[in-house]
Amino acid sequence: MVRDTEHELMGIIEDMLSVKEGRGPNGRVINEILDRNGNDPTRIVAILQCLQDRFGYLPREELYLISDLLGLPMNRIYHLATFFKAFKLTPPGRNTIKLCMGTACHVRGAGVIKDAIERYIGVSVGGTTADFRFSFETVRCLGCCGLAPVMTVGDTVHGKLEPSMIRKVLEKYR
Amino acid sequence: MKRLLYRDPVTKKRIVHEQELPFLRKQQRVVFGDNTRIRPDDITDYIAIGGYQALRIVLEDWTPVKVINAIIRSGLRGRGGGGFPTGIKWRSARKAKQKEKYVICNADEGDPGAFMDRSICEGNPHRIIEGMIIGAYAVGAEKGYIYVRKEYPLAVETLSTAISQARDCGFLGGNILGSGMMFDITISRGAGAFICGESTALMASLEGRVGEPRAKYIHTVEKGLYDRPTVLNNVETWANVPHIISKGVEWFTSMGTGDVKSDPWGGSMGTKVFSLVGNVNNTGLVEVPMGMTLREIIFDIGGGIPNGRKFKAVQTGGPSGGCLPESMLDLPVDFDRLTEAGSMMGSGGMIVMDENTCMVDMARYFIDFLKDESCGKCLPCREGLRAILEVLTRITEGEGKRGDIKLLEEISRTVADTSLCALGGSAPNPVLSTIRYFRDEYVAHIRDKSCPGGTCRALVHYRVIPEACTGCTACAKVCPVDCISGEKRAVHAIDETRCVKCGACYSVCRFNAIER
Amino acid sequence: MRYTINGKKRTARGKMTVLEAARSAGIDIPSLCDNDYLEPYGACRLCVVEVREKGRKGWRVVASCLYPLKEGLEIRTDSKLILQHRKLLVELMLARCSGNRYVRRLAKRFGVKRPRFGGGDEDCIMCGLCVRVCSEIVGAAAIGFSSRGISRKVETPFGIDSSKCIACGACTYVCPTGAINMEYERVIELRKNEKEHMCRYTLMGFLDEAVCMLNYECARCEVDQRMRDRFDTHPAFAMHGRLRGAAAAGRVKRTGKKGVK
Ligand SMILES: Cc1cc2nc3c(=O)[nH]c(=O)nc-3n(C[C@H](O)[C@H](O)[C@H](O)COP(=O)(O)O)c2cc1C
Ligand code: SF4
Ligand code: SF4
Ligand code: SF4
Ligand code: SF4
Ligand code: FES
Ligand code: FES
Repeated sequence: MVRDTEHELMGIIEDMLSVKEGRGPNGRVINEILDRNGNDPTRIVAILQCLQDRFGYLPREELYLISDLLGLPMNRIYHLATFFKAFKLTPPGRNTIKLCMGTACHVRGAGVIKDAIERYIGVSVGGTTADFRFSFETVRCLGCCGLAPVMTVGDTVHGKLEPSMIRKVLEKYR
Repeated sequence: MKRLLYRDPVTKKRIVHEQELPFLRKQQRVVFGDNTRIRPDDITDYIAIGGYQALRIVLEDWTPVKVINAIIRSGLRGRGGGGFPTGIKWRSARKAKQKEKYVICNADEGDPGAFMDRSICEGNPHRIIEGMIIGAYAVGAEKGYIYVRKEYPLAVETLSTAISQARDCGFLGGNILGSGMMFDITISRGAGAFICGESTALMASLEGRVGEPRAKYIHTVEKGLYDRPTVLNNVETWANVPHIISKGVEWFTSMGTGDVKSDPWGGSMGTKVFSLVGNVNNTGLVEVPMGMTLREIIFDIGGGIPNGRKFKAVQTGGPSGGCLPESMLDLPVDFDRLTEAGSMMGSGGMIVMDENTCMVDMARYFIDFLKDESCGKCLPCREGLRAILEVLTRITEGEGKRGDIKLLEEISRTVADTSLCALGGSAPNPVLSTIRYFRDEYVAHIRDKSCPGGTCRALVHYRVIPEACTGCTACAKVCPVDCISGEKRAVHAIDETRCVKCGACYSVCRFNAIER
Repeated sequence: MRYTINGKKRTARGKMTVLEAARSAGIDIPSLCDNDYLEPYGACRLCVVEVREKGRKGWRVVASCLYPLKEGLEIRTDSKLILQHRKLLVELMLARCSGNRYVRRLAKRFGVKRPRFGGGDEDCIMCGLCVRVCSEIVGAAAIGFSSRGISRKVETPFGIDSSKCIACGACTYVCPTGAINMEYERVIELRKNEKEHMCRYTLMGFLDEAVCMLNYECARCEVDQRMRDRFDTHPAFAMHGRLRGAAAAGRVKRTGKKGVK
């Protein structure tokens, strides 16, 4: 019986070792990200940011791996991942439209731009089109209010928008 | 390429300066005047214009107490929101018993429609760093953090370069300028939460926890980051510090209002950077001495309202600030006057609204924003904002009931008084200030079912005025749902059943032939 | 430390919160998210009181479960303003949990009939007791919050069954509204087999003494022990049968039966 416990302990140690070496196809990537952040649980937000930069979203398996490696309970990581707007738990589309709904943009009519985009791509805010062509989100202030109303598609800024421009602008993105 | 793009608004603004003298003449560009004189990624530029001189002076022959006293006497108050006297904050942190202390620079700039902290971080990062080193010396901290908003990747880049340059030059690190002082700075990126600008939430976030505020009955200068004494200041606050040291307290107090000789709360000194946006001709950053009136800022510097429209309101202080009407335009802008008027200084957002803005809708917009950004920890903010939003929405949709204004006031009072942090505490401001100054608009929505600003879609109707229509077809071309019919040179008509009330026809018509 | 509460002068010794001071003075302040075993949290805000610090002019509204008692503090627990605030808070709570019987009972006590605004039909009031007990006392950290603002929820990560849950039932025990439940079959079975003990970590079910000889020596069983220390018995047992009445009584008291006149 004692041996059973021993056996079990060995199992656990083995588990831990395999985790350290990098479990699964992305284990290496995760270890690299963690090392870059000094394996420091207080830098978890930065770690998640690296993870998202790498994958475009936060894949579930990898989150569990991080939780194991850092000894940080999953319930906290999950809260962080859902609390911050920057984090996504599902894969995004090829082009991400970010429409500014900041005050300056609101005053200059971001609301109708939103309608126009929704009409054109056929999904509402927070959604991704079925063909993964577009993801659509709104943000609060892109920091270039002089160009209000503003949106970014990928890294490109489109300013001084009008509803009638939307079709032309978005057509280019495949 | 990306660099160019992100800089775009700034460069564009520069052009405006050179052409439009009044825009510049009334300003006093103390904090970010140097932005145009230096390259942010080169420390020698900053040193050439006298940078790090203040630090040298301080380290060579000032005691920490002398620094703190100078800051107290200068009357410098926090530029990030509350307007708390910076020197007093430092003094409490210095007095706190624990040995390990921290200084933090708040560059989370969450107010939608504001970008002054960004321009300092990207344009003159060493100024902030120098301020922080001086602050660290004064309170006795060895570690500093800069918490930068996620949307500002360029700021992170510039600040990182600046920090490593400062390290190379011996301004940061183990033995600063041979004085034996130790101090270093780490940059932390936010991840998209307005609430993380709040001091305790920011600290929680730095500790790797969710950005939820906690009660501040024990101040963060005693128990802040990792429960150690912590000084948190805004970007602009830090950026003011080096000049106060090198140019002197008298120079700083020569600008501003009130009297801070005996009481650091007694006035507002120095300059303030505002981000002037909305329906105003010259949008951009303006830096003015405290005490300038709203009218001067909006009309002389901002060049008034575009398209010959009338001014209606100006909102200061970010989403939880208040909307001030025309009658308050001669109000001098300083911490206390704005608060008295039911608004606040906040971090310096200034949004101008013209007559085509609906104040109920504006209040709704701000509450909607704050509802999304509430962390959801405490009941009054989480549920109260939803309730307020529900009432406001029904008013803007023409379903307002008698007694709704009173109900709004009642919920607002409880939310303001009982919320855990200042987000909930100040969230009702936009509602209360619009009720205070624009009550008639609420009444119009509720009783007459009409929207004077013409933006509440359920309450406006677009119609062609046959007498004025020339049949130019401009409106039919822009209508996104093709609901305008009419031959060339003949009077057009709008099919109201299909109209989505986007207002495109209204703004495109050059003959004012469309009414709403 | 001398302080004044509702006009009565009193003295206290040592560090304590205003809520504790009020309790020791026999004044009941309704509090939903406070628990003796847990760190104060300040989420429900029902415990608000007015205080005036020594040398200050104005009264401030503060959460008594967090506010530290200070020398010369004046406290008002039942001023008109406070009663108004509490009533509106309960109304907001009722709007959120319009169908929950505990919240409805609470609302009735505060004289709130029907909320004047909509909300939802949730059971959870977001007091966070379950999350905190699971992390702070049990140490399992199986449940947590997700999202923010109005969409904030209590759930296991990704909303799927959590392998971290050791089925201790502590969360059910502390929940003031009955929003979080155990799978009772398991609890009943536990009770039937009280002689055996269950290793909740390996999720192997019941172990005969013959199987696990370590019997509470193992680090994992420490959890069980902690539960016993804190709650006298294991809350999972407490929930069922003999201690049920007592737990329920605790719940009634927490919602402030006598609190408001
Ligand atoms: C909801 C909320 C958001 C805030 N956002 C910011 C912000 O984006 N930038 C900032 O500097 N201060 C912000 N503050 C104010 C900070 O909490 C803090 O008071 C300030 O940074 C202190 O620095 P100061 O004394 O230099 O103003 C915010 C406060 C609240 C309650
Ligand atoms: S007031 Fe709002 S943001 Fe602040 S703690 Fe409460 S819920 Fe969170
Ligand atoms: S308001 Fe918009 S949808 Fe309505 S008629 Fe004019 S252009 Fe068409
Ligand atoms: S039963 Fe125990 S371990 Fe499981 S969620 Fe509840 S408190 Fe946590
Ligand atoms: S489930 Fe119960 S204990 Fe947990 S937060 Fe909700 S009401 Fe509180
Ligand atoms: S408000 Fe849209 S860019 Fe600032
Ligand atoms: S806020 Fe004090 S008991 Fe809930």
